[in-house]
Amino acid sequence: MSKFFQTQGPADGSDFSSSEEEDLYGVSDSLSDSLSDSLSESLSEESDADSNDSGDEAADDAEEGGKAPFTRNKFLKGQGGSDSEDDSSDDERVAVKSAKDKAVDEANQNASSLSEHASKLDWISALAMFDKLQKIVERTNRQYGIVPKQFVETISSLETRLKEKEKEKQSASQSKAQNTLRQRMKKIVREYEARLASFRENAESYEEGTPLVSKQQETEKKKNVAMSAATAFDALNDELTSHTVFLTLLSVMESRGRKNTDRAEQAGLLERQLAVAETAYQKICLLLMLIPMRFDLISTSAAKAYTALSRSSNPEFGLWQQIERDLRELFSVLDSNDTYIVLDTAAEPEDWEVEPKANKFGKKLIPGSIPALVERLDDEHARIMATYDPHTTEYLERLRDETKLEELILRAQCYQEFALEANSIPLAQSVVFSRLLSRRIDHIYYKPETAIAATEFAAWSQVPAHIDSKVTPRPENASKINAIALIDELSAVIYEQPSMLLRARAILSKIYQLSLADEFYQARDLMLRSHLQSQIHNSDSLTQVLFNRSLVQVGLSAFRQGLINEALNCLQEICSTSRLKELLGQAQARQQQDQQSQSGGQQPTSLLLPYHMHINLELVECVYLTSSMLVEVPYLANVAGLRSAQSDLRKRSVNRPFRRLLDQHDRQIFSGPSETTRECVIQATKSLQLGDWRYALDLLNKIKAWSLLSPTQESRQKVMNLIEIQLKQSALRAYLLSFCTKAYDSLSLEYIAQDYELTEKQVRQLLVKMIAQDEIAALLDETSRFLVFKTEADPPRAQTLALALLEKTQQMLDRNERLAGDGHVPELAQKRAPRIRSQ
Amino acid sequence: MSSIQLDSAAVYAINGHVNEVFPATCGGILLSTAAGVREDPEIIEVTESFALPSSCIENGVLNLKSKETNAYIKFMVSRLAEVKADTNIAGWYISCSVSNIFDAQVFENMYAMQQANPESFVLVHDVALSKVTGTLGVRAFRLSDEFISVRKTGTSRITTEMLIKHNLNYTNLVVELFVCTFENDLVRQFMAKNAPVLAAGCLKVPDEELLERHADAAMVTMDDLNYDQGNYNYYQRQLTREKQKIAQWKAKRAAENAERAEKKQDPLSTEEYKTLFKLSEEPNRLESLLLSAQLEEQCIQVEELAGGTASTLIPAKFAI
Repeated sequence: MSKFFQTQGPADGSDFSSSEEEDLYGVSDSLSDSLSDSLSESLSEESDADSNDSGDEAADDAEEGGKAPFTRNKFLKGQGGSDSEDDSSDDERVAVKSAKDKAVDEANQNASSLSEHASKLDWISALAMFDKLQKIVERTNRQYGIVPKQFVETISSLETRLKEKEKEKQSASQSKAQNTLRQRMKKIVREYEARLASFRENAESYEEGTPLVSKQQETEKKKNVAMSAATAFDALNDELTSHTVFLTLLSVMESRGRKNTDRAEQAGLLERQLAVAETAYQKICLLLMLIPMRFDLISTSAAKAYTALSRSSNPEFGLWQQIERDLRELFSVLDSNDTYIVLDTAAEPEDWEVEPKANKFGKKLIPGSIPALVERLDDEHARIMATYDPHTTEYLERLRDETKLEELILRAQCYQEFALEANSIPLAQSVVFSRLLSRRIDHIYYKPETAIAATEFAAWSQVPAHIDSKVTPRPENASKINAIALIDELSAVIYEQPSMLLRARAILSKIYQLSLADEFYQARDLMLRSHLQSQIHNSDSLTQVLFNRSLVQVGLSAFRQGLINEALNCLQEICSTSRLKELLGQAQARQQQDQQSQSGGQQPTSLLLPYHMHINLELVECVYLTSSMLVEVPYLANVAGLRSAQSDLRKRSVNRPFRRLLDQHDRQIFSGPSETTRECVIQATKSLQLGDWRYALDLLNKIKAWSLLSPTQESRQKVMNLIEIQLKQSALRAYLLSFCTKAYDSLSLEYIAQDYELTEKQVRQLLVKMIAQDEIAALLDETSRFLVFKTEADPPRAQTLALALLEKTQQMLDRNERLAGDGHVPELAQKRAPRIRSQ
Repeated sequence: MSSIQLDSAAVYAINGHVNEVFPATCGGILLSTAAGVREDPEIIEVTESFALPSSCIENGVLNLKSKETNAYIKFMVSRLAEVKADTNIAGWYISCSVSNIFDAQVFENMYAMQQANPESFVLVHDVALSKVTGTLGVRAFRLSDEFISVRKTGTSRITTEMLIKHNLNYTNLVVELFVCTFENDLVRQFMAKNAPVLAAGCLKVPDEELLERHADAAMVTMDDLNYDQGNYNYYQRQLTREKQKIAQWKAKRAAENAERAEKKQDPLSTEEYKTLFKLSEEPNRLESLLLSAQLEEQCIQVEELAGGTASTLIPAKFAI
């Protein structure tokens, strides 16, 4: 019942009329219903007024929860007492003070009637009364922390009474009720033992409100403690000096991770402390504490309130900028004081106040990981990017921070390099360092070389001049930066460290970059040599996504070189699924989406790449379909042709997705003008099949995605020229295969070259290839420059007979062997029998 | 081993008859001087022949055993005796491809004839071949002693055991007899009339039609043979299974007997299995023999027809 009341709001409670409760309270007529409505309404008004008076929020909440039951009980009591008299209800209304008092009164009344019943030895009604009383008291105890005095008194007396009357004879139903009551009593006595004891000790001075130590009170206590700690901080704020640095640090450290600490406040405190810090060690320590604190802030909702005053529209971004500033400060402090070294492998000091002693290299180690901080900053940046719509200007602005990030990563790399060298730790041994390098590669691998050179140079120019890196030396100018060489330099360290994952990522990134630079053969060789295809299924999804991205890029680069078959091979597997987006990390899997909507959307974007890293799907599809078209059109013509049975092409696997698209197109009753990439390519395929390459070329040129194929107009034109030649050749092949063998005796090479706008040399090459591959039955007459088709006759009957005979002979040979095997020597037959049966 | 000497008149008569009815099959009776009056007992001189009416042909095969045929032969011989011609029945002729004589009916004919006259033989005139080559394609055969001895056992069923015992296989079902004839202007003229115009070109198969017919026939034979062998394989499997069962039964009985011996009881019969199990009967091997021989003959024919061309094809192939 109590649960029910809690869930019911005040409004629900007022028109409360569930039949179950009605039965319980013996209310049955409609009159009482209407009465209860009017009554409870007026009562709730009153209680509202009460709550206003008190002004205490907690009390108000409690009252709202308790209002509904209270009103009803009140009313019911009126019902139970006599035939609902107006007077009595009026009286009640006057008597109302607060819910608390009413509940206590009710409890008291119940208690007195209970003791009455008990004294009369009417156990049955006593039991009913007892149950009722118990519920009321439970509620009052839970809500107000009160156990009415009379309740305790009654319990105490009832207990003694029960003990006295235990042996008395009574009716069966009575004794049963008595037994039940006794058991319930035992439970109650156990629950309120403390109160009973105190009551027995001193019945007079017993107070209802005396603390029964509840959980609620405990938390309150804690709050108070925290409050006092906060006030202590406040006190500290006024007199922060360099001497209080470690005091502040310690207090912050202690409260960190606790639930009720106000991180924003503590961050502010650290900030102020930082302003007055004197020594470099102090500053470093404070910054090392402050930065993670801010990361915590970013990830909590508290961030919003904290940075409400920030200039930026996105509160998280304001924090991010602060962290970036802090990191820079940390770097500058570390740069100017190179005896202090922050290193992840350093031991945790026992006492922060004492500066660590210099080790054998003369360096003072402070535990902490600069790369980890930078990485976290990078992660947060990615997270913030994900919250923006990629088509807004804000997204572009945030994208500019990439340069800052790269600079910070670079500085972190330089610093870590310096720190490791200063302690003569091999670079490859530090996982953190390798991770940082991997992170750096992640930032550059997907960009075109010019962009990499520019950002790289910009990043270096921000790094103080005296800092340099051995892994990636400072470039003299932007033009000297070679993207692949840079990746190689970074990978060199990664290759030496043991983690397979980082190595795989480094290789894949290089493949990606090579493909972007149109080094198809290098990229392909690297892909094949690394044997990543066979292992990639075991790696995490992010690496798998990177693998897919690299593979797609290899395919695109092959296409740019005019290597249609290779491009198709690379793209086939990925593009033939319907999950292209998901495989490239540019959309969520449907299954995952479902799971997330169920589990409340945790980590929704972690597997997704930010928009600026996306590979244009339109382009991928366009390249895939175009490649498919160029390969498939001659093939389809060949299959339809006569000689297909003899051709090896028949064994080739069929490009099903493309076929499906073609079929779909064929099924359409009306095909309108092509608009999308897909429609354009399919239309082009259709016209190619009829040999109309000019229209097909027009259609292909209509596709806008080509503009993304290559950065410069010039190279794009080059690719398109290659494609044009391929297109013509495909058309020519399809034309020859599907029409010429039936329609012509001979064809002039000159005519073909003219019609297809190819050079005669190209035509000859193609024809010779087709003849050699037995696709067309023709001869090339070199003197008259004609393609002469052979007339095809059915093979002579003797030949077919001979072939059939050969087959039969083979059959007979088998039979004979079997006969010999199963011959007349039984032992032999038994031994051989199984083998024969298996045939 | 006797040889056959064909008189020109007989050749002329036979040739005329078979060419007349070609491509249908026909047959007739060959007559020679009586054995006792021969100059050389080894040479059977065929002097006369007469055709048998087409009613004697049943299913493309001559039936010499029917009453009508025998009556007709008797009648013809008696008429010939009236004109003092030779009346000794030396054998019979048939116009068909040599491979066709490997047929149960033909063999029965030959057997019947050889029973009456051990020196009798069958003369096979392959008209189609004669037409292609422009020669007289005549060969003579007689059942081999091995076959006769197997046939004499009385049952028409031939089992493997019998084949082994009499050393009979498909190569020695029949013996071929030497046939000779004397040149006769009439014969030469006749042959010249029938001679085909030989096709030019060394890579051309002489007569594709005939080759194809032989190949076709070979295929049919092979099918039959395969079928027959399938049957035999089935029998073999059955037999193995049965034998296994018997062996099991015997082992069981032996164990039982050993047990009984311990209890000093009389042993049970170990021969009882003969009534319990019945071994399946071996299929007739004659069919298989005939088919094998027929196939061999067909293969020889194909080889003869296409062999020359095939050998010229080989250098041509390497020249390419």
